[in-house]
Amino acid sequence: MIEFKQIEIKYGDFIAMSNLNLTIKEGEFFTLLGPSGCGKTTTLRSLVGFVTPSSGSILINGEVVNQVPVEKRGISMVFQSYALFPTMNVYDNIAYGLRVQKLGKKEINEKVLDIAKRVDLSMAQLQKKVSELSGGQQQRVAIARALVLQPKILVLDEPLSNLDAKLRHQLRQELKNLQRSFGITTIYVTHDQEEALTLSDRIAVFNNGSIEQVGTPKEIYHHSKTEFVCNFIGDINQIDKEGIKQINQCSSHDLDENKPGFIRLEKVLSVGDLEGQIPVPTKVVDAEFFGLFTKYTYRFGKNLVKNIEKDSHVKSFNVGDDVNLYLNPRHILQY
Amino acid sequence: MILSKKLNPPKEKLQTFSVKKINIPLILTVSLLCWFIFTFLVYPNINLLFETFWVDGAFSTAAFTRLLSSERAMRSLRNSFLLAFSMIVTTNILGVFCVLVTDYFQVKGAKWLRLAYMSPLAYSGIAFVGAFNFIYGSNGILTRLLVGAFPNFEPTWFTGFGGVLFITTFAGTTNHMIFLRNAIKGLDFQTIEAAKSMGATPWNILRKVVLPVLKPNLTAITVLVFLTGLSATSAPMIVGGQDFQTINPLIITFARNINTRDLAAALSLVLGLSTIIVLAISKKIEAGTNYLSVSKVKMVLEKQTIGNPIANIIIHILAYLLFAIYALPVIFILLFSFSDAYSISTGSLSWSRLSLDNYLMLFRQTGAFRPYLISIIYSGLAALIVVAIVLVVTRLLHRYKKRFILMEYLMMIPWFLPATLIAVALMVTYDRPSIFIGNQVLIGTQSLLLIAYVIVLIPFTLRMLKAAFFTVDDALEEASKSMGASNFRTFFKVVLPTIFPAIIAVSALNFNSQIADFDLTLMLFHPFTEPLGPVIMSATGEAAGIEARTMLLVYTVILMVISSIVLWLANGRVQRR
Amino acid sequence: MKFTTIKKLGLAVAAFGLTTVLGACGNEAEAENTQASQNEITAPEETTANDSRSLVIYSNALNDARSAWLEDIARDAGFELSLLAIGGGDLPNRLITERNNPIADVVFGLNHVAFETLKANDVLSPFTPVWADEIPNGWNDPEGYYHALTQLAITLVYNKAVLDETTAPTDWTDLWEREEFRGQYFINNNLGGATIRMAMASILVRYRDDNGIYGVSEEGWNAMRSFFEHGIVGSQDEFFQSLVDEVTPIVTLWTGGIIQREEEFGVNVGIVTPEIGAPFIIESISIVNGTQNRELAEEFINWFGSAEIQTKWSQEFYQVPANSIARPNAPEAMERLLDGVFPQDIDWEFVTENIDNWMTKIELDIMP
Repeated sequence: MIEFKQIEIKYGDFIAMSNLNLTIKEGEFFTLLGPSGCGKTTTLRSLVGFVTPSSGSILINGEVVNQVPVEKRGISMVFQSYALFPTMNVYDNIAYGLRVQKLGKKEINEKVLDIAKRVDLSMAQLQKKVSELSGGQQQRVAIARALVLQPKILVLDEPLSNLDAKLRHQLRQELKNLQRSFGITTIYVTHDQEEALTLSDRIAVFNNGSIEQVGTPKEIYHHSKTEFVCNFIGDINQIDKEGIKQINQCSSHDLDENKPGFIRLEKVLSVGDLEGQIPVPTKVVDAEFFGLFTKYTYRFGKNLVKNIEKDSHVKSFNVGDDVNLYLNPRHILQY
Repeated sequence: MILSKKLNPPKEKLQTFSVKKINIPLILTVSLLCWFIFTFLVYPNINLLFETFWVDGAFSTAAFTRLLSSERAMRSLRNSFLLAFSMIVTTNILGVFCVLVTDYFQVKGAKWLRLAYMSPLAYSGIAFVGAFNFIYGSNGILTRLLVGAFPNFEPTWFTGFGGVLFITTFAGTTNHMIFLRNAIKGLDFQTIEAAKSMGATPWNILRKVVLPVLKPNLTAITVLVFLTGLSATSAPMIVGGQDFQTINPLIITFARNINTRDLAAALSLVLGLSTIIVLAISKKIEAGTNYLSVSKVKMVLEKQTIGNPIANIIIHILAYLLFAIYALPVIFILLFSFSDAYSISTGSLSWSRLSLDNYLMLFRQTGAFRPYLISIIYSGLAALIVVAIVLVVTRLLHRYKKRFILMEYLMMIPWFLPATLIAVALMVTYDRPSIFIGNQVLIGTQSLLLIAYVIVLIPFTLRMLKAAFFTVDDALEEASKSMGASNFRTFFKVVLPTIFPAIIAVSALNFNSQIADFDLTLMLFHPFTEPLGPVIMSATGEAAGIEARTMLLVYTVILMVISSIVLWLANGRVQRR
Repeated sequence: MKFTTIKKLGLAVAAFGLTTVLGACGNEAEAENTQASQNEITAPEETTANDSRSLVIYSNALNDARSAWLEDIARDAGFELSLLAIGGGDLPNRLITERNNPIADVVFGLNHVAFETLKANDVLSPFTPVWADEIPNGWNDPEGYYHALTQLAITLVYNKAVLDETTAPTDWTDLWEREEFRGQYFINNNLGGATIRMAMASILVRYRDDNGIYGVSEEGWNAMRSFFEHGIVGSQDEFFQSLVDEVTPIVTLWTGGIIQREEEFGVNVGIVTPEIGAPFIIESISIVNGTQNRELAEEFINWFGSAEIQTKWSQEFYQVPANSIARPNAPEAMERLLDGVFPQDIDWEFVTENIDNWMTKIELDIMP
């Protein structure tokens, strides 16, 4: 179990993180999510030991580790740049930590070959210079290098951000599988909400040096606690005060007409056969065809509202059509 | 008192960084460094200044007034600055052109051009000047040819400012060939392609895309060039003639004589202050220009073809003209080193007069190899020790940034003072037992020259290794530590191997610069371990005969061979990585 | 941090260790009486020789050939010599600098102006060699610190292919006073050399004026200015070549170097014999104060200065011996070095007192 208690981190006079309280459970895949500069990497580095908090304490399994040097914390890290040692070949990169532990040659060899197999690195690749590998292969080496030490805790700092989309999807899945099979407590830093939602057991959303919300992906998505979170996670429609007033008029709901409201795309439907739905008159202004679905944009008052329609050949709108959308005011979030 | 002051940084560090335990190794390291810096960089020089300017209990400005009233001193000073500033222009133009020709443009035979352009690395200082003088000097081969062809041709055409600037410019491009070439190789080729796709002409790309990226390197090189210009010794001494003498030969003359050391110290102060000003300015300029490539995927530079046929021809002609200028001295020295005194004094060369006699004569002498061996040992040891010391300092600078800034500045002292004065300072200070060196006398010991070599190598080494250190990705160190490695292991297994090429390169350059050293060596060598400098000097000095000119060529050739081997080995080590 | 620093410390200690080891090697004076081991370390190539017979000798009168010759005949006489050739300008400075840790046992070849400086700086140790009486009166140091070996004159020489006795200058003064010599004479730009210093002295003492700058009248300084103005100033490695090439057919030279150069360069050289005389230089020999090998040094001086060895020395290298017994045995070729040139009347005390100031003034205010 990892606990952050009242953590404050300063760089000179700049407060990078304040009043941070966070608990991460054993074996959990925990993601620190947020835009760049929000403090998520700082939090991660303070856990690993590269940054010393100016106040508060970090506990691992109940033990304060603030003063424990990096190399004694038993946390393995995968870096955004991979930080593979350019002067060593792949094998030596992976064996590095094992050699630090002064294991026998044979044992090191077994472990390296075993982990290489699990991350899908061939024998030939093990003898290569790291600069001769592709980005995806380098990523595997970085992960293998961290996992081979069988750490109590694995931390990953935006490990997929340097890869192209397809590889990112593929490795994301492998990462999840690896984590499950090893059962290591994993802390993952990303600014990609999709990664966060698909991978994590729980997510902490960071903004401006503090945590906005902690919860499971579903909690975060469906019950975003703050305007920042609901904007940052997934796509969302914003409806201005005028729109809220209009919605209030055709329903018994009493939304706050002095604030804008937010509603997820999938809660806006083109058929109205559910209880509590109210119709909203709109005009189609754009249609984006994605294959599996089409994303429509409608004009509602001064708002642009989007939704997603599965392509069924039955229902398709053209730009300029007048369409009635249905939504349940209950699903409108206000902050 | 200064010593105790400098001990403060570690204490401060303890208070803020690790309150819990006292870091004894760190304190010991820092104390040793402080001792070294104080004993060899600070105290001797302060002591010298004190002894020369503090006369009868009062600060004496006599030396300064004496110099101010000396037309010759003032003219030499002016000449030094004229040379330094001229060199900034000429050397940068020549250096950039050389680098572009060998590594940027598609020029035929670039490999050979590069070899010739890098030849000054193999023979610096007096050997280089001597070689050029051998071609262009009033007795030079080319001059004799020209005089033969045009009887009215002035044999002293090469003497004076022009000749000095010519030689120092050609000698000064080594920095470009090392550091600028690296920078050009590191260019992101995509930026050039991008500029092309936006319709930029090659000239425009060069000016607006390539050169600006090289600007930080050029600034650093410019400082080095300026400093070499300011302290030029051999070139003005040999080809300066009456009209173009500079300040450093004067300092050397004055420093050698006990009675005129105050004049040497005063002139050195002037040089030192101007060096400090130049460094400060360059730091300002550097601060604003640090372009890191932002591209994620760098592409290797592809050589650019010169589209315009006329430009192409002109560039090829210029490139090969430079090739000739660089290569001829080497070729002629090599050839004439096999010929006899007659051929050399008449500048004629015939097969019948070529023989191995000169080399046989040198090596038949008992212990002829000894000076080479001694010079190699001294230069090698100095190169090793200076790298060891500077690595520790750069490590501290890197880890604790600002805390050791004073240490960094103090280690730059040898850059502010002419080598001769440093030698004098050591001699004046440690010619009697001193508590700073365990009540020993340094004068008359073999370590004196070694210490002096180490001292003069420090600034260049520090600058280069510091730059290398700061290019190492912090994440590499962090990765090592996160895998459980200690600082110790991290440093030796990860950081050091990463900057190893830089260490080897700097060491090779250091070695080469010291093996041919004259100024320091002549003043400080121990008679039992006589290095090359004094041997060459006595073989060519006033008492030497005509054979001396032949032998000088032989010495030069052997020096070139040694230096080339060192460079080749270093390059091999670097390439293999 | 901790472990990094240990290694760093290691490096620093290693570096320091090296310097101290080397330091210890050279620091012979500090080591008690470990003569043998000291020689073993400092002069490894000589370990096979009889160690206790080793001497270190500094001299400005040596070159490769002379060193080789001297080493050989000294070995036959039972001396193992380490010879160090240093220019006449640098040698006194080196000896003074080393006075707290002297390396040399014996110094020879310097003129008495330099020896006076050394004496004043406590670098010399008095000793009267067995041959002291064979030296003409007044040539040895009356206090017995240094004794004469050879004698030479500093004078002008010219290339006989260009000038002859009638067209050559008759004195230094001619060089700037007569039109035809303008640009015809070479001046060594390294004023540290003993030869040029004596030549300058020869000129300046003619203008002695106790109210003038450094004892020389304004006229004297103007003469010196003219001397430099009309000469070709260049570096010493080209000075004789310049005569051979007939670029500057006139150069200042010490008589001891004439015959050897004529042979090497294949030129004929004429010697200028000024009416006022030329500075006669006595080159002497002395024991260095603080030597650990005093007895051997004395033995060497007794041997080297003897008529027998000085005769050989003069026959081999055309040096005029100071030793009155050796002098008549000098080779015939040397006669012209002695004939005609006679000593200029110079107050050497005055020169010794002022020569450094003169040279500095010339460097600063007169040299172009």
